[in-house]
This record gives sequence, structure tokens and C-alpha cells, in this order.
Amino acid sequence: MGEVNFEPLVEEELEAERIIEEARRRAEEIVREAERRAEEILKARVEEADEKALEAEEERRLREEVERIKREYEEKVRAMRKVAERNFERAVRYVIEVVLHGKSR
Amino acid sequence: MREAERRAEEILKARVEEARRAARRKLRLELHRARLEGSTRLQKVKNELLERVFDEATARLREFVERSREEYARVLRDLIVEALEALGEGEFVVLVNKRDWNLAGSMLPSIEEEARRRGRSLKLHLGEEAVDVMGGAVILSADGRVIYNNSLEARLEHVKNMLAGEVLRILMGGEP
Repeated sequence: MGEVNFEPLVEEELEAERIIEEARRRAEEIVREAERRAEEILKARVEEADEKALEAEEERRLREEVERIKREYEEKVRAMRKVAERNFERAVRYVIEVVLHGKSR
Repeated sequence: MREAERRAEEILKARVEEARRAARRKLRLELHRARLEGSTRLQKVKNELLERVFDEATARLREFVERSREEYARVLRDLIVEALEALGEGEFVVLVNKRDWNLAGSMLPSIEEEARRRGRSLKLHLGEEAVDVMGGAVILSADGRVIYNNSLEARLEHVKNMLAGEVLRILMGGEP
């Protein structure tokens, strides 16, 4: 029996290992990239959601403010009419007094 | 391809942002408008309340002139004297409404007399034409160049123009 040359076999095995290693590395890279992208997308969605919430909040706040101002003036008008009703007689008498006897001209 | 997608995304984002800014501007404008409308309404109500006071005062003055003739006679005399004091000395024509014609005519001699006692020279004539006023008098210098309108309408107008703030203060519970 002649001597078996194992050298090519060893080389093939090494090549196979290298390929497997390369494949594993690529796979890991792909997973990492996928994870990174997923994280980016998630982050962007969270930011977008936050932004929308803030805008909705600002819009709600502004609408509430508009309503509050309208109510405030309505309340002022009501209060004014009420006070004016109580003092109407006094105001009329003042006008008559100044017209008839006033010396402010 | 990627570059085109990126540009498209940028444009979209910019448009969305612009739309949001426009929406916010619109809301702020609404806020401003609400304040403006509120204060305009308040001012309208104030004017309306003042108008009611003056309408009522006018109605009561008319009633006073018609029903309280004795008291009104004193008022008419005071109004004529007040106008003459402002005009000074000289010859004047006193104009009143038809109803007050006799009343005013009867008081002019005593007004001249009182002025004389105070050292002022006055010559008064009762105008032949009646003026269309509810009360008070309009005094003209004899040459017609100077006029003092002391009718109740003119005095009411004066209060409206000059003392509306005071009337409003009273309406709102304050002092004049």
C-alpha cells in the first residue's frame, strides 16, 4: 500500500470550515443589521407617535383656549347686564340731573 | 433609486410639516379672533346699555317737561340764564318751542332786570319762530353770528358725547 496523501483532504476540510465560518459571520451580520434596522424603525415610529401626540395636545389646548375665551366673554356680558340692570335707575337719574341742572358745560 | 426615495420622503415630510404649521397658524388666528370678537361684543353691549339709559332719560325728560310745568319753568329759566352768562352782554334772541313760548316770554323781563342788578347789560327778545325741541332754549346774538344751543336735546347730546364714560361707570356700580 502506498502512503495516503491526506493533504488535499485537510485542505478541503479547512476550506469547508472557512466557508461555514464565513456563512455564520454573514448570518450574524444580517441578524445584527436586521436588528439595527428594526430598532431604527421602532425609534422612528415612537418619535412620530410622540410628535403626533404633542401636536394633538397643542391643538386640543388651543381649541380649549378658544372655547375658554368665548365662555369668558359670554360670562362678562352676562355679568355686565346684571350689574347694569341693578344700576340702571341711578344712571338714568344721573343723566337727567346733568341735563337739567348740570354745570359741566 | 434610493436617492429618489429619500428625496420623495423629504418632500413629503416638508409638506406634512407645512400643513401642520398652517393648522397651528389657523388655530392661533382663531384664538386672536375669539379675543377680538369677545371685546367687540363687550363694547357693543356697553353701547347698547348706554343707549337704553339715554332712551329712558329722554322719555322721562319729555314727561317731565309736559307734566311738571312749575318745576320745568325754573329749569327753563336756569338754562336761559346759563346760556346768557356764557354769551356775555348785548342783545339776544331767545328761541323756544311753541309750548314754552308764553312761559319764556314771561320770564325774559325779570332775567334782564336781574342781569342789570348785577351790572350786566342785556336786551332780550323772544324769537318769533318756534324751534323744534322738547325743552330748553336756543339763544342767538342779535346779529345772528353767535348761537348757544341750550335745548334739552343739545344737553343730552353733550352728556352722550362727553359723559358717556361716567354714565357707564355708574351703570357698572361705580361713582361718576
